[in-house]
Amino acid sequence: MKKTIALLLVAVMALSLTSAFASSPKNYEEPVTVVTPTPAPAAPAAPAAPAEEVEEEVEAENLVVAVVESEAVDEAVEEIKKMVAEEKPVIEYFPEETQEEVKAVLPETVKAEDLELNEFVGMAVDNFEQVVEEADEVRVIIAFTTKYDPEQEVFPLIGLVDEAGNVTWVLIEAEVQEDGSLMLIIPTDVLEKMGNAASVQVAILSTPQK
Amino acid sequence: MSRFRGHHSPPTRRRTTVKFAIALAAALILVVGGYLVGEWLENRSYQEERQQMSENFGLLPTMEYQGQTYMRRPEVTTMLLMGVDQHMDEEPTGSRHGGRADFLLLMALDHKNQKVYQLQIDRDTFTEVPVVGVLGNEVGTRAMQICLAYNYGNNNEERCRHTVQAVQMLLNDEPIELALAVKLDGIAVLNQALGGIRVTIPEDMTVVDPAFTAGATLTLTDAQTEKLVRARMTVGDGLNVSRMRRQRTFLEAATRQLRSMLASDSDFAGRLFDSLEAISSYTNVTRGRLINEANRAYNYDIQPVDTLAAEYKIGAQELMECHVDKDAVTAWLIKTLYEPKN
Repeated sequence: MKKTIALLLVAVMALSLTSAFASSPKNYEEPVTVVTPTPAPAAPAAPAAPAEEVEEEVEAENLVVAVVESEAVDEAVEEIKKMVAEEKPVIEYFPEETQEEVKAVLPETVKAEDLELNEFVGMAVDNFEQVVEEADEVRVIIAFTTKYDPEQEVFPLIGLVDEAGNVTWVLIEAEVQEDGSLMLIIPTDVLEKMGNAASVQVAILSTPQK
Repeated sequence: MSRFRGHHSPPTRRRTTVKFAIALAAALILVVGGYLVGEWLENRSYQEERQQMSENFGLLPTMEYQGQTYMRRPEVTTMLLMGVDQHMDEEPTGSRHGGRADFLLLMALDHKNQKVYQLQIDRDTFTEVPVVGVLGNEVGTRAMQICLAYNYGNNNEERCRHTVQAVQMLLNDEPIELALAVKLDGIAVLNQALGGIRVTIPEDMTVVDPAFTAGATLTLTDAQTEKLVRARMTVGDGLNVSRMRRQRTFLEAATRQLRSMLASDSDFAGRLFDSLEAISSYTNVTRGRLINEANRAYNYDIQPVDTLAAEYKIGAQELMECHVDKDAVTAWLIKTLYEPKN
């Protein structure tokens, strides 16, 4: 039986929740709301999963997943901007093996060099141990600043950063929600690596907006 | 005129008439000269975006409201003033970190009826805001507090444009012609230009400045100016609507002094532009245009600052959200910018 944890990020922007009387955040922030239990989504989480597989949701009250400010991400974005200014495709920012991994899952009609990068954020994961033991994957819904179109294909890359600053990129699956947010489907082995990494980055490659 | 002071010979009727004629001529020369200089400056450096005369010439925008068709009045100039939480010596970097437009005032200069309307927009107003991707490309809109619109853009011009677009979307897509974004901590420069703004403190603000006792009337120092318009969290109920009231007190006092100085000093509009330019993060208003608008409007009837009826609630982020009444928006537009079409 596949065990899934559904985590609902209503809107991604702030790690800490501020009161109504506090000054508003410097930027659009996405507070995290954990909704448990949550009805399982109608569509299977992973396209490869057998249709007869039954999903059971477990509670994840203590799991923390949040979007955070990251200087390393800001620097990476500046680097990508320079590449784009030189008319290089954004996918070339990533290592060749990651590029190949993405190309392998692209629809036939989509060229890798046409992929856009509109979201690239830092992410924090905490209190993940229990979830890793009890579930196979977590689903995290994030309302990024960019509202994605349900017709867009998205390719989230999780960057696991070690103490030396080296980044290992892992391609995961995601679904665009009706409201333009993304449901990231994070296998718990990846979640564990995220929790143990020095820092985590999330880059969302997508087909162009129509 | 001043060189005639202290002249003790008894004035004759003829002498008085001559003096009056000279004074009148001098005043006319000042007014006409000021206007022509302003017009010359405007034409020299400002290329307005105007439609070709052949394209939709004679067609003014209309709107329908409660069974009546209203037509846009072409003689009203709109200008959005933004107070941005940038520091004077600060240039933001990145495409999503421009700062917040904590003060938003839309002015409508009605040159036909000689009135100035003002609409103060709550920075907590929840509305669609144009946003950009991490690389700075435009990626549509997202609903958020309107003050955050200034965050998005690769430079202050784009940030200003996005804030104007957010206000336009809030106001039923009504175009806004002119925009001026001023760095809030530079507001002290405006205080200097106006010779120190004299205000009556509307409520106890001694927690911000010991001199700010309720009802005290004082001429603000530069530092006090910033305290008065920016303080929020530590004053009273801590709400932005209360700060907006305090900002209106400041605005009304500044307007009185501005009017007085424009009336008495024909060069003041130019000097004011220089001051504003020093503290602005971006404007599409040229020196000549500002001089002309100021010279035309300084004696207009300035209407009280309006706000839009709204419902306040705590949003999903536990932040205050101001949801404006759409009917209030339409009513304000009809009052200021439109007239019934016969």
